[in-house]
Amino acid sequence: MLDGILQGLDTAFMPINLLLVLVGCFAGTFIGMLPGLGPVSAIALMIPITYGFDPSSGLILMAGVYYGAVFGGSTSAILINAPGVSGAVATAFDGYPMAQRGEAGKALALAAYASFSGGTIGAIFLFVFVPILAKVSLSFQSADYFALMLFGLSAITAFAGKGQVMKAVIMTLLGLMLATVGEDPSGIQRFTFGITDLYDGISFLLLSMATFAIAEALIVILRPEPKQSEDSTPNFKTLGSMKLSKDEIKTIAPTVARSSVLGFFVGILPGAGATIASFLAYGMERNFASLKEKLRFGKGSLIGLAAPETANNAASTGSFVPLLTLGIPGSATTAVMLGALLSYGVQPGPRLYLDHPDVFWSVIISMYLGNIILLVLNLPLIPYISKLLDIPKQFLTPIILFLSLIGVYLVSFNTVDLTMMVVIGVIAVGIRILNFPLAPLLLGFILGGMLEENLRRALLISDGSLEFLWLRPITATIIAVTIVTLLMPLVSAYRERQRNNTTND
Amino acid sequence: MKFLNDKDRVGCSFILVFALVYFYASFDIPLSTLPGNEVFTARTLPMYLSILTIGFCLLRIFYPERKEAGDTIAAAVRSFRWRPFALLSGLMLAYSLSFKFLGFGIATVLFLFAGFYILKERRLWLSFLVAAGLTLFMWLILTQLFDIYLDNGDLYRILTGE
Repeated sequence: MLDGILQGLDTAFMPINLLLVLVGCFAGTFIGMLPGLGPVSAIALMIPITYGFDPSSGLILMAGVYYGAVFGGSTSAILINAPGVSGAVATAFDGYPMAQRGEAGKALALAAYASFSGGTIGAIFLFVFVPILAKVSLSFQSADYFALMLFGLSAITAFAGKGQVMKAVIMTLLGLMLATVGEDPSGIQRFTFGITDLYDGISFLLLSMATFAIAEALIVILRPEPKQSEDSTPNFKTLGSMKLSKDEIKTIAPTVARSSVLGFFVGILPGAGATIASFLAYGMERNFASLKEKLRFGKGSLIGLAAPETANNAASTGSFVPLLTLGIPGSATTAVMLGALLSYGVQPGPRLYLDHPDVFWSVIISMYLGNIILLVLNLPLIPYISKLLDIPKQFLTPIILFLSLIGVYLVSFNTVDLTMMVVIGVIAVGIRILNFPLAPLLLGFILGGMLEENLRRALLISDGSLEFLWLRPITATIIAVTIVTLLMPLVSAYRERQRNNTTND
Repeated sequence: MKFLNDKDRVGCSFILVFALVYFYASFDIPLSTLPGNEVFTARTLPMYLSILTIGFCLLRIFYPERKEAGDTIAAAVRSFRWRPFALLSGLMLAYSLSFKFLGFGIATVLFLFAGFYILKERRLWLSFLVAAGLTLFMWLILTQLFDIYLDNGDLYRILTGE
C-alpha cells in the first residue's frame, strides 16, 4: 500500500499534473457558476480534451474540474441566489441572506473553509476505507455485483422524495431499457432497426449532456424572466471582509465535523449524492441548534451555511468510493468519470487498486490538492471570477448550448449524435415539466450494461436457477438491504396515510 | 383532476406507449445459437424490463397519487416562453444538420449569431464579434493546442476545389 501511495504522490506532484489540477479548479469554478452547467457537464466537456493524456493526468484534471464546479455552484448560490448545481441549493438558504446584508465575502470564505474541511475529512476517510473495501470486493462474484447494482438502483428511488418513488422506479426502468439499445454482450443487435449509428448503443455522454446541460439551458429560456427587484440585485462590488473571528470558527467547528461524517457516508450510497447530503446536514444542524440559533436559519446563519457546504464536499469525495472499489458509479458525475476511465482502457473496480496503483492513489491525492488550490488560490480571486455572472443571458445561453453540442461532437465526430442530442434534450424538457426525475434514468442507463452482464453470468453459473440470489451470505444480505430500501418509502407513505386518516377521524 | 392535465398520468402514458413498442420490438431480437445461452438470451432482459415498466405505468395511471390542486400541467406551463424555446431547439437541429456541409467555423458563427438574435440581442456588430471571436478561440484551442481535427466542411472543399 505504501508503495502505491508513493507512486501516487510521485504522479500527483509531477509539474504537469499540478498544473492540470490548477487549470481544472479554475475551469470548474467558471463552469460551475453558470446556471445549467454543473459538474456533470463540466467533466463531460473535459473528456475530448483529455483523450491525448495518460489516465492519471486525465482523471486529475477531471477531479480538479469536479471540485471547482462544486465550489463555483456555491459561489453563484451565495452571490445571486442561483445555485449552479443542485448540491448548492441548501447553501443559498443562508449564504444569500448573508450576501444581502453585505457579508458576501464572509459567506464565500466560510463556504470555502467548510468545503475544505469537508474535503479534508472526506479524503482521510477515503484513504482509510477505499483500500479496505477494495480488498473485500476482490472476493465479489457476479451474483454479488448484480445484487449491488440492484441496491444502487433501489437507493436512488428511495431517495427520490415524497410522491416520487414510483416515478423514480419507472425512470430507472426507462434508463435500463435505453441501455439495451445496440449490440448485446453476445454480439446480437437489439433495437437498432438497421441504423448503423445505433450499433454501438446510445452514448452515455450524449444522454447526460442532453438531459442535464441542454435541458437545463432550454428550461431557463422557457421560464419567464424574473423581475429584478432592488434587494435581489447582486452587489459584487462590496463583498465585505473575508475574515472569520475565533468565536465564529468555534461555533461552526462541531457542525463541520458532524456534517463531514454525514456527508461522506451519504455520498458513498449510490444515488444519494451531494444534494441529499447537503439537505440532510442542514436539517440535522437545525435540529441540534439552540432555539435562538434555530430562528437564524434561513436568515444568514453561519451554521446553516457551513453544514450543507461541508456535507456536499464530503459527499463528493464519498461518491468516489463505489467507483474506485467496485467500479460502480454512485452519481451522474462519477458515471462520466467511469466512462472516461473505460475510454483510457482502465477498468475501475477492485483490480484498479492492484493493477494501477499510480492512477488510484494519484487521483485521491489530487482530489485533496484540488481542495487546497480552491482555498488558497480560488478564494482570493472570487471577486474577479464572479464577474462572469455579469455576462448577459442572451449571450450565455447560446454559448452553453454550443459548448454542450461541441463537447459531444468531439467525442464521436458524428453529426447524427448532435441531432439525437437535440431530440433527447427536448424530450428531457418535457419529462422535467411533467416532474419526472432524470437522475434515475441516467443511473439506470449507466448500470444497465453491467447489470445485464452480471445477471447473465450469475444465471449461467447457476444453470438458470435464481438460487444465486440467496446462496452466498453476502448476496443475500445485499438483496435483503435492497428490499428494505425499496419498501421503506412505501411503508412510511402508508404510515403517513394512516396517521392522516386517524387525524381526520 | 382531468387526465390530460395530470402530470403523472400523462407522463406514464407516454412511457407506457414507449414500453409497449419496446416490448413488441423485443420479439424481433434474434436468439443466440450458442449452446448454454438459452438460459439468458438477448431478449430476456428487454422482455422483463418492458413488462415491469408496463405494470408500473398502469398502476400509476389507474391509482394516481393524491396531489395538491395547483399541481397541473396547465399551471406548470402557464407563463412559459415557447417561441424562443422552439426557435433555439430548431436552431440546434439546423446546426447539427448543417455542420457537415458548412464546417465547424461557419456553422458555429451562424449558430451563435442566430442564438443571440433569438434571445433579443439587437447589437448586431457585437453579436457578430462575440460569435466570431468565440469560434476562433475554440478553433485555436482545439486544433492548435489539443491537436483535435475539426472538419472544414463540404462547402469549403467545393469553394477551394480540394
